[in-house]
Amino acid sequence: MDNTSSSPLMIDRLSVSYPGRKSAALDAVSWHIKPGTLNAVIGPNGAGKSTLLKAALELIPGRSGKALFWGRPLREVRRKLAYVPQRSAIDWNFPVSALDVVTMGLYAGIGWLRPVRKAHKERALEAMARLGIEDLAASQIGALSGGQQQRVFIARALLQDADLYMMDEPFAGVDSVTEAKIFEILQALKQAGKTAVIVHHDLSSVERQFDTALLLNGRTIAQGPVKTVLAKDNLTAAYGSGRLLAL
Amino acid sequence: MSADIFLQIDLPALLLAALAALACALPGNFLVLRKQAMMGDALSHVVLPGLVVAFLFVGQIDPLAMMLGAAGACLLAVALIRLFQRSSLIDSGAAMGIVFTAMFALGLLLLESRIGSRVHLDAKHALYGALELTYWPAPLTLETLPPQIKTLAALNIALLIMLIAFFKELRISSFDPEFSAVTGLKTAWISAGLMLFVALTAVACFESVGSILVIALFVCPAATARMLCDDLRQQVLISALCAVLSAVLGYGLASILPRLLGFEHSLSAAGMIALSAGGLQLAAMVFAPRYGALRSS
Repeated sequence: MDNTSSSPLMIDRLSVSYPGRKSAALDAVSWHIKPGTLNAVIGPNGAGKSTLLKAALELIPGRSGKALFWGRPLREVRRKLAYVPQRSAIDWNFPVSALDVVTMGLYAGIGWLRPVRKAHKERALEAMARLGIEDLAASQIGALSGGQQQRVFIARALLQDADLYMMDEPFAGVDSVTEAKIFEILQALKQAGKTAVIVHHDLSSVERQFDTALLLNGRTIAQGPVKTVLAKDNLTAAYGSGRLLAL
Repeated sequence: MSADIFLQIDLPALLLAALAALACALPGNFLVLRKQAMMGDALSHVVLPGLVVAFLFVGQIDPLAMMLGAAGACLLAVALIRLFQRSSLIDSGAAMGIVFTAMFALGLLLLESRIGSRVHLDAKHALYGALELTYWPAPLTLETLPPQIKTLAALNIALLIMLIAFFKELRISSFDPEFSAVTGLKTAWISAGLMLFVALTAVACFESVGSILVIALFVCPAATARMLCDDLRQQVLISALCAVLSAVLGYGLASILPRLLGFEHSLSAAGMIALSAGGLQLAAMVFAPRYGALRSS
């Protein structure tokens, strides 16, 4: 199965159910991602987009099915992954500076019982410079704008020097300059042969920026090349028609 | 005469109060940042029946037996909470509330009915501690230093070592637990380790300063420090200073000041220390340069 071992992420009938709720949050979703591609997870609110990422990363209970990275389980490949959590998962009042947060991308490599050194901070500053936020290094994370905060988290992911980037709504609440910057970074990652899986909500930019998409609404509505996924029938099936669009 | 009173009574009490305050404030920073401040409260209550049962078994205040009793009580509490949660009609907050208050009440009842006031372990001390009973007998040597002071000093050293050794891991797992988990950090172990130290601290401080003061000191110094800076390392240092300041200020106001003014009675030292910690918090909330109510912006 050479096909499996080259795939950065292969999800096989992944389901998530919460106790006390009848319908599954995620119902037997399968997805096969090719290396060097940008992949979008789209769908209405509550469709299970974040749940898919979190289930693949073993962050939530109640999972069944499996997710393999390059044909191997998560615990063997953690250092090749970078995860950008949803903005709402972060406590913005926490007493850390932007530089502290970016440096966290190196913690796993620094290891137990070793302190963060100057050389680590310099590398973090370089990653921040790539996103144009090196001037904000000393700012407390909550004092930054939404776009700046998201750039901090992308810089942290870049510092992890991963092969697969999984980002949960990195474009939520960001300004247009930041959005352009993040897409620029994603395209550069793709050029370097890296792979990204992005939970996304803006259908208009999906076609321009991504190679494949997975359209979810609890279960898989459509998947494959962006053009076919965005066909009108699929969107109606996922979002409903007319006024139901927002749901 | 006055110098003797200070050396033999005030100094050990001050030391004990300051060490207890410091021991609570250090892990308290992470309780507050993880929004688990009530865990300190809960653990300090839950251990009481364990301490009483341990005392009944051993017949004296023995540190090891007390720790084992406290640990047993914590395990029982966790099991009971799980049991209530499984019924799915009671949410986890309510389940904790039921278990902690019930166990504390059980502890008080056991204390009153089985031990009474024969020894200095009674309901009043469980709540307010026994700072005033601390006494450093002459000759004032390390050997005659009250054992609680030595226990708390050792606990503080252990807390400092843990804090320095795992500072990076505590910071990342408190700030961004999902990210930490994906990088492979065992966040559940860090969390369990923190809770272990919180429980140890609650037990070690319990005897000398009482459970009310333990609750105040887990939360107030850390919350005060958070108002005054934006850096975790600075916050821990400032919280340590606030804790020691609360202890000295509170003890001074309760015991030394009334004596200097010629009053015969002193106030509850533990109560005044908790009040001082609350007072510092209030002052920070009003006057803190960036986050206070009177900030310039």
